[in-house]
Amino acid sequence: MKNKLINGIAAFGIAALLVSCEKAPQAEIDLTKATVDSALLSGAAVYQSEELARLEDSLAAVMERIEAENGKMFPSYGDLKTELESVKAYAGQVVQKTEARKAEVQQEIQTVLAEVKTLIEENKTLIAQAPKGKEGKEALEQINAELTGIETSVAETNDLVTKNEYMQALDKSKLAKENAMAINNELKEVIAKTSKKPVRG
Amino acid sequence: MAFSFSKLIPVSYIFSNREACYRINMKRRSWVIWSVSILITLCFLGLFFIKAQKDKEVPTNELSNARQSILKAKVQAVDIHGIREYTLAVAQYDSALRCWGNENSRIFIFRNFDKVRQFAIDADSLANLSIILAAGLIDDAHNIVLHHSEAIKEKLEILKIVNAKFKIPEDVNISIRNLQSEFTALNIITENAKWVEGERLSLELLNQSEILLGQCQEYLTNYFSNFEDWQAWKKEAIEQSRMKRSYTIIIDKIAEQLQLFYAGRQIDVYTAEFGQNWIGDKQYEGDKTTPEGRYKILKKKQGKETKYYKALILNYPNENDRMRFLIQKKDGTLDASKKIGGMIEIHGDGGKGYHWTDGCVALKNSDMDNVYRLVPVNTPVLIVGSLRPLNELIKL
Repeated sequence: MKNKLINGIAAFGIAALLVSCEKAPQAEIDLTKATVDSALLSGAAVYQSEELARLEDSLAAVMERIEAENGKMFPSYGDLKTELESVKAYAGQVVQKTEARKAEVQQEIQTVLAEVKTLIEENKTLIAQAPKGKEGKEALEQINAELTGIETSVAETNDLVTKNEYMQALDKSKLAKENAMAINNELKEVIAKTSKKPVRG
Repeated sequence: MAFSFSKLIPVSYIFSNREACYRINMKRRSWVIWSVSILITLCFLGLFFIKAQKDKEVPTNELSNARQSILKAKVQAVDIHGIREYTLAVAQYDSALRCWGNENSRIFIFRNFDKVRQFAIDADSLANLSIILAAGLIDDAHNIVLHHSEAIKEKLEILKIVNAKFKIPEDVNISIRNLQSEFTALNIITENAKWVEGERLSLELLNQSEILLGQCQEYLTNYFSNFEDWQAWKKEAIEQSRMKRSYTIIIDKIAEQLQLFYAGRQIDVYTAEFGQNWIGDKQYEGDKTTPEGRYKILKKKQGKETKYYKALILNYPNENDRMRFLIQKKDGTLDASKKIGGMIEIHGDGGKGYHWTDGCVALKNSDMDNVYRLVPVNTPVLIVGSLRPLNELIKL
């Protein structure tokens, strides 16, 4: 009886020792963090900022639970490994959404740039039509200088696209388009004022 | 005979005592074993109880609240507005996690989560405060941008009207156009709801627009400092026309008009076009400015005599022009190589809709026919900047 008791206590102690030796799933944690970092590197902060915030929060929630397990006498990380896998999967989705958004923005930039180029050509035609330019040579020179400025903006936009700074490129292209349209309207107004013929271009 | 206790104690008694002692010893051993076992069990139970208590102290709720508040702040883009409280909230949350890890690495009976709890509570409070501050900041910026944008738009409209009506200096004109472009950029920023970024730009542009308006005002005020002289000359010219019952021509540059008077009464008004730099008085040959002052018609030309259909030659430069020119050359205002110029006319081929001459006054051919037919040589010609005061023109 006594031996049984002693054996029982000893067996319990060994079992406890074995169970309490389970370690936190560090490899899985590191892999999940790396996946979240890849979402950040893909530009999610710019293109999917809310999704990135939620992803980071998901990871933080899992890390809290891991820390809670770390403090226990008999930690169990089985469920948490599954949660880490979910976070990884979510990170993958965020990366995909980021890439999709980038593609959308690129498409929009190209559309706007095409419109800008059309406007620039049209403006050049209108300048040739305007009788000695508007209010003299100086006004004409100024408009030409602004058109050159718009062409420079187009080149700068393309540079930004090359550097993957799509949002900045989009803003720049939109500004170039607005400026080109303003010149277009101005020239048409002047030509209409000085001529009764319909404006070409 | 030796006495032996053992001889006194019967063998059976001895054997029974030994068994009793053995039994007593066994009993004692059982008591000890049981006591130790119970003690060990009680210790384990005690440790479990302490552990359970320690586990309850882990501030998981506080940490969860802090994390969710930080998430809420991020979703509302508080982090991009440089709110200090947000940065502190994140730092406090990180400190809570580190502190928790440190406590977990200690033997559980020595763990103390008070600091962890405090960090988490602070992080939660700061995150919530940052949300409130950001909302206030964005709201203020939104209102400021809208207010400034309205003001800039109004000033740009005035500047455009002033530029269209008066020939303002070219550098000011370029600045107005640049301002318009920057204003477009501001509109794009506000379309993306970047109010805080827009606030800074809107303030810059408002200042620029006020400066430009000030420059235009100064320029025009200087130009209109001659207004009293123009009024006086007009009065004199009309009086002369009335007394002599003769024709006189009064040219109002800002109104773009040539007014024909006879015997002190206006009989006709024609649209006129001037030099490309039409505002201001002529300074030298080639400045493309129409002179201002009192002149007369020296000669009439038509057909092959002129390339402009018909022409009335004026006596520019008059005495005042010559005197001013000499003074300016002497004081260095004008370069020594400049010439005073001449051949200022009222001629035809006008009607282009803009100011294009080298300094002459151009009329449509049909209008030129009327004027040419009516006015003789020596008809006075008065050229002024404006017959209306500046404040009246600005109101228009």
